[in-house]
Amino acid sequence: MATTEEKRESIYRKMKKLQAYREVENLMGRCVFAFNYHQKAGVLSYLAMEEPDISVELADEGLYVGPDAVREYADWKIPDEPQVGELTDVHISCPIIEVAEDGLTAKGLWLCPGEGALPHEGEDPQAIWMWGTLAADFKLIGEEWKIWHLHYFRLMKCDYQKGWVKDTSLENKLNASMPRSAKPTTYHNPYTPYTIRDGIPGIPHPYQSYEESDKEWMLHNEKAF
Amino acid sequence: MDILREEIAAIPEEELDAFELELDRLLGAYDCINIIGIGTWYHDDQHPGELQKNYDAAKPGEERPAFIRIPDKVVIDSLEGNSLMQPRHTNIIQVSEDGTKARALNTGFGYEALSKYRETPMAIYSVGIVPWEFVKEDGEWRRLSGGWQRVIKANQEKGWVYDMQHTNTRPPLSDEEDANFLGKYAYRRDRARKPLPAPPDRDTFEQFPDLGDDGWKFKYAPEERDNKTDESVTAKIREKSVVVLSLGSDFKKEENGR
Repeated sequence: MATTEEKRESIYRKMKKLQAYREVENLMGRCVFAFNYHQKAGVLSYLAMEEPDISVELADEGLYVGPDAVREYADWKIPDEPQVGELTDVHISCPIIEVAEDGLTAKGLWLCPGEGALPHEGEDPQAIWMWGTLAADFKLIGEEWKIWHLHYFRLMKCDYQKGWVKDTSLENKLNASMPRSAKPTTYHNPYTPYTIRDGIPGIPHPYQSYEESDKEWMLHNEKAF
Repeated sequence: MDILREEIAAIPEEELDAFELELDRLLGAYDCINIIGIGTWYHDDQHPGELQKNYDAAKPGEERPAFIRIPDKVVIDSLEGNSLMQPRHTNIIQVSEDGTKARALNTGFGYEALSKYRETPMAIYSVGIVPWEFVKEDGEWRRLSGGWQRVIKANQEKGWVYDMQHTNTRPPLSDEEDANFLGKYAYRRDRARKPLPAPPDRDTFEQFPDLGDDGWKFKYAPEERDNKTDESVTAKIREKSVVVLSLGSDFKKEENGR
């Protein structure tokens, strides 16, 4: 039988957990909006730039570890001015969020439908689908939750009219030079008529506190074939 | 002491249990959302239910049979080129007042690629509705039932007004079988839509106290509750379907497939 003080402590921890769920989901939503609106400063403000091991990885564009690398990637990735006819509109849905029992970190996974448009000089913009999965670690820094490790796994990217089976031309990045701080991409397996989908990213499971080994959860494949 | 602790310290002792129960209900909704997400992410062609079994109710109430599954059946020759991605949206989750059970409804809006016999895959738009029931067992939330109700499953090049793909089974379903299975309430250009399933109301467990009572889903079309498919037809469908989720013979069957 719990004492009155134990009950109050339990209530406190549950309240903090409930707050964390909401904060984490709002945070990811705000970051996605900022990304969609090409607001570089906004995106960076939601990231844990105070953390030396902050990391960001999007599809096959390399892994960026550390504040300087993340800032360099943001400069490369997010244009200063929106282009006429361009559209990036990623949505987050289907959340799986686990807040650590110690309340200091959280892990999240979202499936992300998305539509967009690519401008082409002298032609109509090209309507595209862009679907993926967002996996992230979050850290409570002071009173504020921040995105600590962020990884967008592409599910498919294709011409809207042709569809994901007939058009695979957008699945992989163009042969462009990348920021100098790019490390090799850790995982990239978008849909094509010739690929097999596996269970990556993995799902977050309930956990006590964030350990070094937790960094691997996104790349952990739990599906047995 | 932070403000939250001060506020909790001010809760009268006799109200602590009720306060904590309310918190458990709110946290329970997040647990159910997680289970829905996990089920969605791991729902695929080759291992229907394999990983999801971890989240199934083991003993859904006293004297109730465990979640029954028909052994998985292969419905595609190769995984190559196949995909099934139906992210869930529009979550409605109602946890019972005592925090022991929950009902939910969400939409699934996604895409598929289907190659049955290693032919060039067909790109498919896939939309449906999923009603769920959950139960809290030994302090953990478990999935008690869930079943995909198709809205559209259309060749991407033709669109949903001009095309409706059947659930993929081996052997294939006939038009009649599909129309009595996941296609039963799917979109058709030649008929009006039925408002099925209904979202769970705030008082769903007052209206329908027992888990397994599917009356809540038929609230807006009660006549459909008795409009059951002939048993011989459903038996044939089950033989062919990818996976059948059910709660035992005394409950209405929940069927799932792709």
